[in-house]
Amino acid sequence: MTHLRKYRMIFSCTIRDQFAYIPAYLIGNIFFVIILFVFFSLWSVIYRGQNLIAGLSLTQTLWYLSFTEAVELSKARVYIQIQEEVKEGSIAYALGRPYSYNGFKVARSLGESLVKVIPIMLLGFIVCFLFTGMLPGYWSALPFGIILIIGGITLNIMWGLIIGLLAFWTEEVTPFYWILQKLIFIAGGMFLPIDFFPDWLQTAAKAAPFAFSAYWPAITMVDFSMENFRTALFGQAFYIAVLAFTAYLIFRTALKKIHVQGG
Amino acid sequence: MVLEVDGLSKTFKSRVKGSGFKGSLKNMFSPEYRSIEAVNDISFSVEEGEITAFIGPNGAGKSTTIKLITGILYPDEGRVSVLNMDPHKDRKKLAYRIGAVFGQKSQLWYHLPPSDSFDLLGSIYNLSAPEIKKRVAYLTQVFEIGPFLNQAVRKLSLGQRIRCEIAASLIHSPEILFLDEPTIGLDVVVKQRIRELITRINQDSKVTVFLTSHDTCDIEKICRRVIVINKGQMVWDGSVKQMKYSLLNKRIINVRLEEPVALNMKGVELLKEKGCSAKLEVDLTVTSMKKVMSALVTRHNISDISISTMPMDEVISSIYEGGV
Repeated sequence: MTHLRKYRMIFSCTIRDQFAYIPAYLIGNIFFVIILFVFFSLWSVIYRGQNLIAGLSLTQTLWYLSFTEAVELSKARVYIQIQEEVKEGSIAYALGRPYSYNGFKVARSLGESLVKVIPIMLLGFIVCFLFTGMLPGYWSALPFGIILIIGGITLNIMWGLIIGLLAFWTEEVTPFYWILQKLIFIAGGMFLPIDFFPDWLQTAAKAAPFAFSAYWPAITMVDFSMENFRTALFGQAFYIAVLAFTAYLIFRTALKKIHVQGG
Repeated sequence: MVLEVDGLSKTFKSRVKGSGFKGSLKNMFSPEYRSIEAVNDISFSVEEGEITAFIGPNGAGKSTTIKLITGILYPDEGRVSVLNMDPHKDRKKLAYRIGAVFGQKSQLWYHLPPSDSFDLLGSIYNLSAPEIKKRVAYLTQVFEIGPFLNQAVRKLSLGQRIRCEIAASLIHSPEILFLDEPTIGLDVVVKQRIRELITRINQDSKVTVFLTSHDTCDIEKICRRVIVINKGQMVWDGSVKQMKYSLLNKRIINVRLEEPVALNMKGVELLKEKGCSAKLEVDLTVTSMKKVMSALVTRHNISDISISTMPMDEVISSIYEGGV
């Protein structure tokens, strides 16, 4: 228990620390409202004359976007933090502490994302409600959706951790993150539900890890079924475990090759 | 012995980058590497309760040595034992018993007050809430950080922050404290205060202090022992006193006479002359102080005179330059 206490403390310290950034973050959320407006206008044209596309209504599609964006816009800057720590050499402090470095980063990033995701979810709710009306089944799906959104956030943190740890070799990891982000955007169903993809692509895209960051939490919210929830939850758990193990192996290798800057 | 280092070596491989566009292009396709020996065959040991200065010019290998000792870096060769533990195998276990301050890097949360960082660090070191409270109360009193304990770190002055940094590194009552340039960038008054605090912590809690610094006053005022490292190799290990008095057989005479100085002796060099005042350097391996003094007394009317050893700065520069 004492072992877990330190990670809980890191989590709560980050939440308090993040409050300093809230005004800037809220201003940044104007972008989110613009995206929802642009997509609402776009989908309204596409949906003209038809109620459903690939089994989803206009209301579901717009709310879907608000959930995928909630995961995306609340992502922690873990890869940037690790990159900076390696570049500046302040990683020396972290490595001299009696905790798991990766565990520390996960606890910290979860705190950071939590502070970001709550206002985004609220804003998404208000804007989508105003544009399309209430999402049917929202309240009953919400508890399950929250679990999956946290899962999606955690999955993104794992990606960020792995990419951040590459800084031990390359120092500049932003291009790797850029590639990953685009994969999540396209293959992960960030803007377009995977159900809109051609059949042959759907099966592969739905099973790929990118879909479990955005698509699965969002589709479970807008088209809830226990089957969807189970698939999403197990998929997330599986990929989180795989990525966490990969991050552990990378960190262990990195420790042997570490070259702390500034001395 | 709380710290033993034997034949420690560490080499870094660094990419050589050619200049200009052509160089960058060549570097992309066929990178060239060169080896830098950051630390080369270093051996020393430190006893419990000692305050040891570990000094050297920039790039000498000081910080690398500290990082090797604390288990952050893996050595290529040699053996390190800290509190009878191998820092590389027992990094986490050892972390509970040592503390570190890297003067140029912060361990405090920027937007939060130091008290929050103390609580977090206490939890990281598995201290219970009452233990943390008691320890923070003690450190607050010793470091006099009470007035700004609940103020965001970003609003603290550098001096206030460094006091909090050192206090933070002592939260878990470490047996050894590694201080990497703790007084860097501080003004004279704050530096003095930090030195007093380090001495007090050493005396009160018997914490062994291992300190690197470029400030010779830090070394003179708080350390009894000094290890000098240059280009990765150890060039001096002994007491500060011994280094100052015996190592360099030179003395400085500042003298004010009733007439301009006229002293042409072997082993005496005129460093500065202004009117009837002069600064002389006496090499005791060539002549004796007795001879110089009697020559001065016979030839001049002395108004004032002072004899001192070489300033610490010059002693150290001399060691760096291989003058000893």
